[in-house]
Amino acid sequence: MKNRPNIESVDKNRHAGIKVRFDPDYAHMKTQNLSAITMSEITAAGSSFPVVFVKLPQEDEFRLVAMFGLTQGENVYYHEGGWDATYVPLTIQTYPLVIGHDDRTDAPDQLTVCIDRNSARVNQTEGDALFDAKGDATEFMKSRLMALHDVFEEEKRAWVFISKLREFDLLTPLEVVVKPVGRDVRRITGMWTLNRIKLLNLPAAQLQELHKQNFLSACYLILSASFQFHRLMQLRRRKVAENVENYWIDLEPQQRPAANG
Amino acid sequence: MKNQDNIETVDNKRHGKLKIKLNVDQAQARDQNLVSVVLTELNACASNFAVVFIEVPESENKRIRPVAVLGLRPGENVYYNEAGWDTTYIPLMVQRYPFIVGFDDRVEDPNQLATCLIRNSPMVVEADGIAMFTETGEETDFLKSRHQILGEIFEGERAMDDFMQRVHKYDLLTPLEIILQAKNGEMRKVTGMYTISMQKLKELGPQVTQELIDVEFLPACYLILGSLFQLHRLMQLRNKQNVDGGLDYRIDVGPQTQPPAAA
Repeated sequence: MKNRPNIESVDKNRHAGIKVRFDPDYAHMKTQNLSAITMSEITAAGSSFPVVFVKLPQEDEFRLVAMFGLTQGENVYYHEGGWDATYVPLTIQTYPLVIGHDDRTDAPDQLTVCIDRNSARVNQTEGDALFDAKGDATEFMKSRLMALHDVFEEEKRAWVFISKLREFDLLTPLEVVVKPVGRDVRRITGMWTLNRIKLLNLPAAQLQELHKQNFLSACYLILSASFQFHRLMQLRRRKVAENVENYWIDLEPQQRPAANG
Repeated sequence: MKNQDNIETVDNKRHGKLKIKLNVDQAQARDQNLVSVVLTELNACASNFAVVFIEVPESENKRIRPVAVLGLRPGENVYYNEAGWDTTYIPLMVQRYPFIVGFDDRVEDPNQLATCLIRNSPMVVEADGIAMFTETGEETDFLKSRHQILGEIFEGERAMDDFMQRVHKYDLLTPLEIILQAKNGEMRKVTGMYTISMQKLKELGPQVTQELIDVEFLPACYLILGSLFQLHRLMQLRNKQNVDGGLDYRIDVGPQTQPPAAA
């Protein structure tokens, strides 16, 4: 695997004078309608955003994400000076530092902390330096390393979590159905959540298994975070020029013949 | 049992001509910093408010109940907004106003409950409002929707009794403190609140855990715990409104005090 050309492995020689300007707007997310989150962020993200599973293009795997908008390019939580949210996901906070492939080695799967050179926040004069004069990582850089290390470790846990959910057949499609004024009903597809009834009626042994790994509380919190679609729609009403007459969350779209899957 | 003088059972003979003012801002709750939550609305409340346990003032046996936190001092509701609250949900105990579950004052049976009206509420008017009855004396959809809210409160309260009984039985409460620090360094503690102890929840045996799953109380416990994150929303709104000149804050779960004895 190779990084895109703008993603460079952070290196004290290559990035000696590099600084990262802080951006309270997280403007790089202005037109992103979702972001991956880790399992330890479910409570924080779920206090503002709908939390669902999606399948990313060209991937068969489900990913846990926070939703910021209904369609591509739409982020209704974005606000200059600070988002309309009580929390911003970790990988958004660490940007322009990201996890990528180590371009200094031949090992194709070696991951390391990388920097997005295309970001306007990466510069020579303003913000937090990555390395000090002696070439040591600064406190800023260390905190980013730690956060990204956590994200990486958490991803393994999420993988186990999602495997369990698939094994127990607990995932179910979720669609947001929007009825704009004077136009036909539109279905926002491609999201999954947990099947509440199946979860409730899971055999005791499987429930205990989920509980022991702290997966059960994650399930409950993901389910409850669907209520945040109301917040998303409330913000959307203020920010997006679409007059919505009605909307609802459909947890049984599989009843329809052309269900997205 | 009898109602207070200002509480009247809704009746088309008595109230046929009365109207209820549209109440977008729920002005009666403008100065209310805590509001009772019933079990069925936990998800909706926890999506907006921190839900914590408090001792119900002047209650028998120091009754402990979950409430949504709207403000950190008596009289403070930072979610209040004239154009409609800064929330995606308003608790049923606020929505119900000016209706209340009371005794049916038209019958002899002293325990018969009915939808009652807080007669001296400024929302009860003669004109410019929503009718409770049609010209022919039938209940309007509006009044029917009020019956429904009160019914849900009544049912939700009973479910909450059951929930609280098990919370006490398994000793799940732990104290919660919010520590506010003013810009000048002055500290203030907000105390008297409790939450579910994550540790005690984890230490429950498989049998009790299964029992709590079966009655859907385990999700309730986790939702209440997760709702503490909404204290950040409360502080965000509070600082935006510049209450106390803007404060730093810290949330402590389980400080070195003992939870109160079970009711």
